[in-house]
Amino acid sequence: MLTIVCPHCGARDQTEFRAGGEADRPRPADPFALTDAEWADFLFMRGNVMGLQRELWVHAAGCGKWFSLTRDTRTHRFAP
Amino acid sequence: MVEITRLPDATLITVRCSPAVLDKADLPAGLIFPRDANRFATVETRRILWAGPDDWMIVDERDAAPDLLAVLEEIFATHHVAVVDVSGNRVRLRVSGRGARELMNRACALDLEPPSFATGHCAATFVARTQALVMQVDDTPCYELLVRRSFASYLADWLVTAARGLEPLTGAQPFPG
Amino acid sequence: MRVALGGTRIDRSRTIHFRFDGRTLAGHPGDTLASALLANGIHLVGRSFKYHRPRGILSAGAEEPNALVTIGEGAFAEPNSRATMVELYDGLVARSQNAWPSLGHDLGAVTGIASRLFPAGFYYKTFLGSSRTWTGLYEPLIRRMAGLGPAPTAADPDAYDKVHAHCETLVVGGGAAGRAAALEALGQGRVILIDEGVATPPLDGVRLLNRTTAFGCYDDNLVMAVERVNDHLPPGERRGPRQRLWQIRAKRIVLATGAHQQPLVFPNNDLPAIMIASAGLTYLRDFGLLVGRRIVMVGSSDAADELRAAGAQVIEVAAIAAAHGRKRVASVTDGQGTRHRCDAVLMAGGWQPAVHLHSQIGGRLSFDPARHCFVPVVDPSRARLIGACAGDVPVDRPSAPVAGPNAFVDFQNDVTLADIDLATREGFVSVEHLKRYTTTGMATDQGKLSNLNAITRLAHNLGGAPGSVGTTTFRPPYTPVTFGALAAHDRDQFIDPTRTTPMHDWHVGQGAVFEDVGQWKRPRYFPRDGEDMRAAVRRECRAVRRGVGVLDASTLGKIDVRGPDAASFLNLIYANGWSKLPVGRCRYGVMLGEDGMVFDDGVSARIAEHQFLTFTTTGNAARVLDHMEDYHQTEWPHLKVWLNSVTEHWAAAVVTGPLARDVLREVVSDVDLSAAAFPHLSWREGRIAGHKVRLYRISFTGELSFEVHCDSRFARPIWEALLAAGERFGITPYGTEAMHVLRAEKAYVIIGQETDGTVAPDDLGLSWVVSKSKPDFIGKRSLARPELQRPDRKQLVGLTMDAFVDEGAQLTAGAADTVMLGHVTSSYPGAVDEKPFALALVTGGRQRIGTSLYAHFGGRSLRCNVTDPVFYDPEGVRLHG
Repeated sequence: MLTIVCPHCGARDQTEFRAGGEADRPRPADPFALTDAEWADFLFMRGNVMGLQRELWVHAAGCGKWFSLTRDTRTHRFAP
Repeated sequence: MVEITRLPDATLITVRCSPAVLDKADLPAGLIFPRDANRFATVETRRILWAGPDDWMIVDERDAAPDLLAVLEEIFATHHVAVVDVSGNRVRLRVSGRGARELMNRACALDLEPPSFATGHCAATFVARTQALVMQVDDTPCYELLVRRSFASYLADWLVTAARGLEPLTGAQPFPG
Repeated sequence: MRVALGGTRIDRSRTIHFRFDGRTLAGHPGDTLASALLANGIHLVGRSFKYHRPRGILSAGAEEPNALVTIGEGAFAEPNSRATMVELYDGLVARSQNAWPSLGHDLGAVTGIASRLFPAGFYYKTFLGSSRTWTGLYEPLIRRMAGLGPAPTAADPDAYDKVHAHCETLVVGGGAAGRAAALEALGQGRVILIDEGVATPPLDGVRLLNRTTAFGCYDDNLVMAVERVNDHLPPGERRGPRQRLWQIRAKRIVLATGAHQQPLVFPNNDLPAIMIASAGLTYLRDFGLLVGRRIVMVGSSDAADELRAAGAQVIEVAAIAAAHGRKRVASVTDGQGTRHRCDAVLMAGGWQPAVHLHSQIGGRLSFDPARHCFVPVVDPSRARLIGACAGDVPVDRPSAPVAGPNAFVDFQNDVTLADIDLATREGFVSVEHLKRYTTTGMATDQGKLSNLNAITRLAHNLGGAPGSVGTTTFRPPYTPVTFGALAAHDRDQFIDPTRTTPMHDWHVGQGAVFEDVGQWKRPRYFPRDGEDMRAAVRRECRAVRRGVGVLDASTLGKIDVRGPDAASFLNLIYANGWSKLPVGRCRYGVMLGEDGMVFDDGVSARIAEHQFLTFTTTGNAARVLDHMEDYHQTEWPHLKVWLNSVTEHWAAAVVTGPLARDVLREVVSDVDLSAAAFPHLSWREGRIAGHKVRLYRISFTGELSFEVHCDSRFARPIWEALLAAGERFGITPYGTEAMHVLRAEKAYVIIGQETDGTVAPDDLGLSWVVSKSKPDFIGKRSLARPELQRPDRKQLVGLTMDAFVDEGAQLTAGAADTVMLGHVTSSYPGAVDEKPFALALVTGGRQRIGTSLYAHFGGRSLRCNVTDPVFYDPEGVRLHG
């Protein structure tokens, strides 16, 4: 069980958090400017990186805030 | 003997605002909003807990809701602040007496030893399998928990049951220093 | 047998008694079950898993693969206990396993005699035939023949404890190296020292956990350990939890877990009284006993002289070609061909460092050719290893394995050298395949005395260096852990939290029958005078349709949404529009996922220009708030809106039926309740019993309906005031079952019943809810996808039929058709007439209204008429009353 450092509350057990998938995929500002294929890509496709991945977490049982972390998906270690 | 007590319901008010607003607002002396994470301030019957970077929980033992809400709404009137009466949201439990920390160590994964956790500290975390706000209110240590009302019976029963298994404790001498 | 020398762990001045397979035997305090059996000259303690070969005690520690016994009786029985780890107490009861009718004469031994028919992987090549032959014949036979101890069938009656602990240094292993490391670490904060044994003396300032096995090492220095608090005491003397699970977060971990001396491989190396050499020495030094009078020692060991001093005859040989005997070793043939009579053999194989915890957290291993074992690769970012487990073991070259019948590699799973060789011949050349095909290393001892021999044999067969094939993954637990310890307090009524409303005790007092809605306990129905569910629900539904009913709706999700951008925010979250909703009014809203599918529904009320109260379904309350916070924080942080859960602040009671207004007139002050002054889908504030309440005219039943919301601290007196006021109108408490029937007649969908994440608003006939004018909202773009425009999408319809149909029943066009057109989502007896009706999702459903379909369930099919889904008051006259 990982220890995750919430930027507001400090280090807590992983069970206090929920993972939110890959970070840095903002919702398109104008969804209708995308074709159906591009929109489906946004909805369903992810990079599935083996290695360093930037990802979203929310401190669900704590302050409720969302933040991004970089984690190595092979070792589960977070980059400092 | 560890004691688990249900405290009388209090007035609970959630204040949501950015810290910058607190700097600008004209706050009376009795309203101290802690700026450090995971701390609470006590003034007479009122505690104010830091619950997040833009989130404070006021716990006032007096039945003060209408007055306090009105006072806060006026203080923050021109700002983007939410002052919400959540008095029914949570029930207050106290864990006290000999073995209080040992019992909390069964319920809670936080490091509850000073300096990690001490009087004046609070944390929103899991207690047993429900979310709660935990405060250490004196050095005995004595803890107060704010648990969601619907989970209160479960949590109280869980703590009472877990407390039965407290004696004998292994390596029960405290850490030195 | 017991000798005068040694015995540092036993108290010879006292004698205690125990039973093994019905025989009463004597031992001393401090004995393990294994040492007490050996002291009584008993070596045969079990029968092996597959071949039912006679087996004895191989070791003196946790790595023991053979001496598995069942300790205790009835619900307290613990099978597969290693006799080497069981602390003896007066009155202990133990039984051998996997033998019938007795350990000495086991009929299962026939599989041993026929062992050539049962090599590794034999089950992939046999048991051919129909699946009925498997379930009817082979499987029951295998279950009887193979296996270890039977599990008790009664619930575990012991209590267990589970505790979190934190320290700056955690040392695993209380031997000399571990103790030194613990003392050294005292200057750096809190120190916890864990030791598996009983004899570790306390260390000043160090928190010592004796009888504790660290069984798993996890991410970020989390170590889980189980402490055997009471297992060593007679049941009558036990106080407190039987065992305690420790979850320890340490800043630094030091592993001093030692090493395991390995067995040698030669024909019949599994005979009772063939043991690990260091174990023979441990039994002398710690327990004052000799494992035999005439001992053959193979491999280099300093133990020979000590054993001779204790009175044994010791014959040292360099290698063994084969052992001989039936239920105990009687002689061996050495590497020169000479036969030696003996009554015990001590094998000095090499030492394998106990690297399990290091490997569990990803530590790497490398093969040390001089020591012929795997040693940990030092990694400063992980745990520090010291002593034997770090590779500090004697430089040695143990004698090579000798092929031949019954040369065992994995004792517990009955895997022989021939099995390893067979696997290689059959092409299983990866160490992962070797493990799974032969099952070597997969027993409860997790390969502690077999992995090294198996891996090096594989490498040898492939012609490579011994370490060239690598190792398999080490997984926790290091030794078996009982479920009770893992669950500890979270069992029985605490297996999951239970949520109750403020009126819960009242419902219990009324004899309500409850159902679980997520973690909530909600009354399902309130039976009176011995009613069954059907009768109670009939009465409750009729009361609502004809009189007045009251429902506890406190579980509903409630979110306070406020700020200058509250309406703009809700416009993005919901499919419908909010900007023009006047203060004091409410609106039904539908929330879609980004994929256009219905996610949640509910009514929201405008409380003030910049304040809304959003109601969500009970089951989705947390999910909806999470969803809103997610979008607010990560997509639209510029919107000035605050979101706060008030689900538990407000308790709610639904007062519904033609007489609802009459009841409220008795008890509500400060509100004009007339239809003109208080129209449907609006809210008002007033008082009941001196407390402020908010009334919402929202209907989920299709009748005139008021939701009474109050501060949950005062819910009980307000609830009772409503009941008292309603008494003369025959007010009837109703539960979730009646609630389901009443709403179904109005085709009010239930999220998760009529929806499953693949249902879009138009499918439910809700396109009227979806805004045409808003430029964007979550789900809007997806509604334009071709998939959501298909004419053959499943659509909500009603069904009527002559008998009840199961929810989930599949629907086809013809009785004998096999093409599924849809399924039944909800099915009930009508609220007043009790005639069966249902809601269903059917391909092109709306076009099929007026035709019929067949429902298939429980092996039968039933003709159904397809109808409009609204069965009751389609004009909505009653709820607008």
